[in-house]
Amino acid sequence: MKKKRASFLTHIFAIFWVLFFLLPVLYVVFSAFKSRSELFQHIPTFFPRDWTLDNFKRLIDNPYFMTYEWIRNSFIVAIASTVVAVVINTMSGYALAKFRFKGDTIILIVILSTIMLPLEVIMVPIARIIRTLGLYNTLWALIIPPAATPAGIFLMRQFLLTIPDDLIESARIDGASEWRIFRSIIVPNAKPAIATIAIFSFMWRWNDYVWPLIAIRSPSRYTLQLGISTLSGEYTTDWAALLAISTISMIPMLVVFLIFQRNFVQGVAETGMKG
Amino acid sequence: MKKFFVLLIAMVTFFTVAACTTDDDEKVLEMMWFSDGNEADVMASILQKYYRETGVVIMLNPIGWNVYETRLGTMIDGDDQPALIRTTEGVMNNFQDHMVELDGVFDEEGFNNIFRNAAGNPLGLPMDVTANGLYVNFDLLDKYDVNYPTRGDDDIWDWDEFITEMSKLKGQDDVSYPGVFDFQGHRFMPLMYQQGITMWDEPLESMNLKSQEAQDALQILMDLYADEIISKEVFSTGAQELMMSGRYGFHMSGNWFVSFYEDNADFNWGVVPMPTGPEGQRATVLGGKSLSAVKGSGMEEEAKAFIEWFSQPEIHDEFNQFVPFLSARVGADIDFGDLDPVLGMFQDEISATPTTLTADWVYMTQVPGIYPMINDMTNAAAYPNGKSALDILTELEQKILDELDD
Amino acid sequence: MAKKEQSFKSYIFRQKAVPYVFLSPNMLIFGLFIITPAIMGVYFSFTNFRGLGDQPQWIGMQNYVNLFTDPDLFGAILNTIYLVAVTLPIVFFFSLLLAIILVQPLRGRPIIRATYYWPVMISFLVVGLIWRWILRDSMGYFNGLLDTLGIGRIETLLNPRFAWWSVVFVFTWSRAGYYMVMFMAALLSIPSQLYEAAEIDGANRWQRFLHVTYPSLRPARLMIFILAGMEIFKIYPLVESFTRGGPNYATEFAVRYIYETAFSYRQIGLASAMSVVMIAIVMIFTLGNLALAKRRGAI
Repeated sequence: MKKKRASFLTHIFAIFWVLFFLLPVLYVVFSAFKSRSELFQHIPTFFPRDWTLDNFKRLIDNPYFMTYEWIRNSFIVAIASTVVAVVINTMSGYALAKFRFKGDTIILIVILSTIMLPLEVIMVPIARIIRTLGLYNTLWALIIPPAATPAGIFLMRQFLLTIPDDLIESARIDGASEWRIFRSIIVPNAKPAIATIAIFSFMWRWNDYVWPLIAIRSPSRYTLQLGISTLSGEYTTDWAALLAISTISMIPMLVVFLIFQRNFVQGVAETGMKG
Repeated sequence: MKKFFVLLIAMVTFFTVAACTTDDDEKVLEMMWFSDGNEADVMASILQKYYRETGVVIMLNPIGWNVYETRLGTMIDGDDQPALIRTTEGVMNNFQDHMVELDGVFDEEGFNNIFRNAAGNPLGLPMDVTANGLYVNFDLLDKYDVNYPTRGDDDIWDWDEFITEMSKLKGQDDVSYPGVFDFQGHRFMPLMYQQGITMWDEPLESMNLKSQEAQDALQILMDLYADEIISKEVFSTGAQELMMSGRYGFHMSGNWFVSFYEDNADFNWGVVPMPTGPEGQRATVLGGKSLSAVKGSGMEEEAKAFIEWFSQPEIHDEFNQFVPFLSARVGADIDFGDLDPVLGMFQDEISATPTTLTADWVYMTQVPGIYPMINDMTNAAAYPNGKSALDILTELEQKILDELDD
Repeated sequence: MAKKEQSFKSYIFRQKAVPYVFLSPNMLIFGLFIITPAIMGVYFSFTNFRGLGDQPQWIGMQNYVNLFTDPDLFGAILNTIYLVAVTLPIVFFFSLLLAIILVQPLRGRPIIRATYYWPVMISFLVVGLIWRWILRDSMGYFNGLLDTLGIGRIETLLNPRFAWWSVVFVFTWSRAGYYMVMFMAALLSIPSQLYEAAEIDGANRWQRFLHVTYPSLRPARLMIFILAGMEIFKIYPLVESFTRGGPNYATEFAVRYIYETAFSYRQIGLASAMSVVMIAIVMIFTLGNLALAKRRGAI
């Protein structure tokens, strides 16, 4: 097929939606640079009249906004949980894609049905378990439990179904151990899916709200999202701080996204939706 | 690439282990806290002082109000209680079985507004008292010739006069609404008392909510909403934020916003007397925050010791002076400097309220889950959906009596 | 010989054990942190547990009896079902539209795709804040814009209907990019011969969409339908930071109502019973969809 460009009108249409998705976020980011009095304008302007860093300074100056710790914790949790997620989801995906065994369908159904469960409604029992295991108020509680993502397992299973069985069989005949097969055949072949899971997992954990709410009590262990959620008094909402901290919370997502978005879309294209 | 990942994993492991284990096991007391303004800073400096005097470390743990009770519940369920906690009547009420009884810890004669459990034991040291009051934007009121009484006037306005005056602001270009009421039901209760009626006929037994006076009171609020004298936006945005835009004439609230307006308002603001009922009755609801100790922290004695220390006049006054709050201490005479007239106005509202009415409110706070219930009532006043004042009050009375039955 | 048989047996055993071993870390986590709490939740639903270190007391079906006479719960569940019914088709067709735009040969396609996808990366908490900040009645940008343009301000988040539709809108804004990517993948995997054949048959654009594109998307459609449906059923952090369930409970949905029951009123037992009912409804929705799809031969 010869390549031809889409029409001018299609471009206009496409750009309309670009603005639709972009402008609201930009408005909030710009608001974070407005002075306190400008935040209470009857008719707000899109750009700040006087750019100021006051709102960000407040985050640093006020000892009760442990912004640095919150950012650090968010990074630790997101990265560590992603590493765990990649390993265990790949293992499970492999088992479900390439083995027939007793209970395989049931296990798949159980895994998928956990997607349905809103964690908010079982917070109290989860908190009890976390405490019994001694994970309460540690970052481990934010790293380990959420790493077992049903979506990740499912994604990996679907992807691995496309790897020919012969590859595995011939390795087995050659006497390779199961772990070796996993490491030297499955993992290299699953790279696109691994990338997808990694990026998704990083995003999910960075944006997690419920797990930290259940498991963390000390402000020095908060993640950014939990910090954001606690920025309100009995009567007041601290918009100045909220806007600034929300802006900060979006930056790492933007970076990750700009670096990986190609892999990401390719990953999904080659993974979930083929069969 | 592989090296990079190994390095990454090693780094993460290191940080994780570091972050997950560095918990100083040193025995310190924890004080759970929430703030509407600068209270945490003031408290922190007082805790410093306590440390210098006694060597006991108390760590302040500020938590957002919207997860405050959830968190306290989780802590209690996990036997992981903070030793000390800042409480409202609502918190003490909901968690009263888990609060240390403080009889004998401080001089009960020396403080107003003590919250007690059914056995009559105090559950918290009252730190400040809160009173309702009417903030106004003088610039806007003067611009449109709205007449208002000021502090010390003998003849203050009643609700009819108030509405007539404030209606002058309606429809002006630089006015969004004449004013705002905090959405909390607590802010409606003064209207009821101004009608000269108590809510309890027989405390914790039978109620007056279906009386004509109560209906009149709720009708005032319903009309304020229906006639667009006050904005419904308070149900999604803080009333004080709306007031900050400079486009509202008044804000019916309480003294806890003094420091907020002091820090943020760029218009001339002040507090004027609240309107009275038909018989000229003035009234406010008395509230306040307390300092409580939590059972099961293993530090109950240390917590009591701190509360005892904090109840000393000079310490107690220092806290209220620097926030600034109205003190709950009997006979406290704090110099608020420039803010003296403003806080004095709130003090006047308290003095003008008969003790029978303040006592009546105390019984109200002992009903489990009372705050959500009265909030539902003001919500219904703003969005009546065809219900009359009597319907709404009947519902409320039923809910309260049902709760007491359990 | 015996030894060989022995080792063969152990080989078979090992082979059988392999998948379980590979699955074990995941299943251990699921078992501990999701399934056990869920079972505990079901147990709590038959008790008067308050979650304050108290021992749950068995009260039989009392919670279930109570919740069937709770008009507010009924209202919140119904409200959630309406939300799913309205939002699902909107999200569905909007993300399909975006995907179709993106498979066109556009200039700067990667950047366009990136911006469409970008809101997905923002947490629900922050998404709610963003839109509360824009849509709030008096000082929001939206009303300011209407004012400047001379259209005049309208009631936004203090109007129950506007607020409810705003939840639909904001959810769509934040999630369309996610489903768009799934649709894109499906669109790109449609063999081009199908289109060529249709073109030869003289089918116009619309006919090609209707007869080639749309039917080929069937598996993707089903998956998106189920995933998005469950996501809307579970909506919570978004409304919590966007409207807090208001105004006048217009945006009070099931999970938020349950959460309030559990933590504002500390009725964990009752809230657990509500959760059981809610999850049953989600399951009916999901299984119903699957069954329907099966009958039509989609899977």
